[in-house]
Amino acid sequence: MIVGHVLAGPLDALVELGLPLLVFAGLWWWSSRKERRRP
Amino acid sequence: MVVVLAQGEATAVTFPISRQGLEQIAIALVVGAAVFALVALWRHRRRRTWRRAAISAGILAGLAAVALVLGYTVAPNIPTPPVPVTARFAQDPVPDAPERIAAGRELYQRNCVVCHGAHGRGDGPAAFTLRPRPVDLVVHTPQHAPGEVFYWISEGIPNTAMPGWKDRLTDAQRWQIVRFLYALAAGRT
Repeated sequence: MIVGHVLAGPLDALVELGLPLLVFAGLWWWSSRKERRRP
Repeated sequence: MVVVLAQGEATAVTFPISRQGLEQIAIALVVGAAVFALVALWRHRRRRTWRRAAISAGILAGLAAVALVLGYTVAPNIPTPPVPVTARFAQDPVPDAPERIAAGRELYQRNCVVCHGAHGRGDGPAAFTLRPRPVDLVVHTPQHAPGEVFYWISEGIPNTAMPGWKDRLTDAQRWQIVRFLYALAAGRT
């Protein structure tokens, strides 16, 4: 729950799930990139 | 952090997300960490590059731990009575109108004033005998979706004096009260 009347109900839930999802998506993109082979 | 409340007053708040919100975030992060851990394991068995997936699992698990630590140290504890997801997204089928707010006010004055008070501040004549005390509706209503408020009016709130009104008021009447409460909190009454 975001404190302070900025968001309510569904929007609030969207932020609570959206933030972790954003981090997850970023890490997924990073981990699926080809790793450079070490010389 | 200073947060502006509905009526324009400012108050000092230690952290912008409540303990309950941070717990939700931590659960989502732990699920993500588990997915990455499984991916790392699968890739390792297939002899493919697995380190970044494992690092990602660690990062997500670490963030979940940070969220929980914040939740149980600096974040305010604001327990909210549980609401089913479907109820959370419910909407009033009838558009807002001044007559509906007026009807809601009349219903509120007839049924709710005793506990919640004439101005919704939780200071009705019966309020002082109740544990827990009725909430300040002017502060709390805007923090929730209309569907949540409708659900609490309909079903009541467990372990409090708040009864369910679905047997005494029709759906339309309960939505009118919801409309009135939002208008009251926004200073539109």
